[in-house]
Amino acid sequence: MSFNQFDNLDEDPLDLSFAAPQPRKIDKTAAQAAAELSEQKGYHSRRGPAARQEVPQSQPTPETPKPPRNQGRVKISDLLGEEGKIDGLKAQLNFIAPADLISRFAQTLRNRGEPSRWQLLEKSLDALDREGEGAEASGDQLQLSPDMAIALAHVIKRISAEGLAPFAADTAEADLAYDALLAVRRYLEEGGVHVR
Amino acid sequence: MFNITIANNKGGSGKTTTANLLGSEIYASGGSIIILEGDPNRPHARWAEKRGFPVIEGPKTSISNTEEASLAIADAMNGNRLLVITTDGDEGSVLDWIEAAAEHCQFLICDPEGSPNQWLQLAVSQADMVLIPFAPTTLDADQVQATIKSLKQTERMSGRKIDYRVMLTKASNGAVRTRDENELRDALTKNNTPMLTVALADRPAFRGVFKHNKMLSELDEADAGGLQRARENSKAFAAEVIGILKTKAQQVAA
Repeated sequence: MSFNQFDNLDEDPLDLSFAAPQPRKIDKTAAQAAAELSEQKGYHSRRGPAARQEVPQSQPTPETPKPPRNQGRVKISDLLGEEGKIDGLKAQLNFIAPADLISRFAQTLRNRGEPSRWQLLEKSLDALDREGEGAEASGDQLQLSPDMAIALAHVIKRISAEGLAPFAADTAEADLAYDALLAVRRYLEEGGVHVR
Repeated sequence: MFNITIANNKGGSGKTTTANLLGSEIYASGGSIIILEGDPNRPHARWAEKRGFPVIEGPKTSISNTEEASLAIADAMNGNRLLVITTDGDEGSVLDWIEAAAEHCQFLICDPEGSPNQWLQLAVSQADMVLIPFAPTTLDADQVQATIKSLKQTERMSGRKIDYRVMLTKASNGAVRTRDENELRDALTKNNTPMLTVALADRPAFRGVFKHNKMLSELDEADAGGLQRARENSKAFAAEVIGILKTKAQQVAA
């Protein structure tokens, strides 16, 4: 049997005149980040580990002194609630601020060309600086200063409930989330705890 | 170009048949269509090869960007109006193929593997319409809810509004519906879930498309019975989908 493209043309065709081939630009950074995030929810990838961008992992440096104070700190599990509890410090840190994802979000925000709007977090960080406090790791629970915790609470809760999804749709919140997460990393690393 | 993605986290829901029927109806109406296939079993590619349509074997083509994908598509289509691109389920090149396909066809149908996978997530994030087919079983209905939930997360994440419709496949082939089917329809209606009014019935002719490697319009009575009703069913389904897209296009234009 042979066919050609004029075989079987419908005598009462559908009206397709509204559709035409035309270039379409895809925000690949955001789409890729969304897909990778879905892995946390069981959406598997067929790409082998070699095909993925691996971020070299730094080893913790135990000889670096950690901030000694513990008073007035808030445990991350208190913020997340029982449902969002993540065992293990490293898992918590990676959950909050996976480096590759953050860099992709940063790029997405830069691509959008919109200014940073994260005054709430900035105030918290200023307060944190004044007090000379940083985040510290103790046992298997990440602990933050109250100021930092307040700024991060809604971010972390929403990440726990919905992943980073809401922050991609709302630029202001995305900025806040990104900067908050980045700040956590910075403070942790300054305190000698290296994430990935 | 309009991207229609067929999504369900579960296999056996009728995704491949849905994609084939829609593609065939568009083709029969003179339209141009690319089917991007995420199922490693490559049912569309096998069908297209035997039917005489061009196929791009994505994993062997190893494109590294949209421009290369576009060149590969132009070369493969070469005057044809239907092309199948396989990806072996590897999501690495999906966005390049979607971006490139936009320049070469009126409609792109993305048909992922029936499992929760990132290929599906990427295709959904770029879809103009997501069709969620499900067979009238409780197991399928549960997966519909899971698929809708993940679709909404992808929507927020990608910042793109994703229009979707749930559609019944393998439905009762007659006026009398099963109790399960009625209950599932009622539950979806109560939840205000957007549904296609046309359901694809469980028809031998639909299965005959893959059995005989033909389009539905090319089957004859020796291939499968009930052809007339199957064709009417398929046409009504495609007309509803195309009608929704046309309305969207008009709204955007206005």
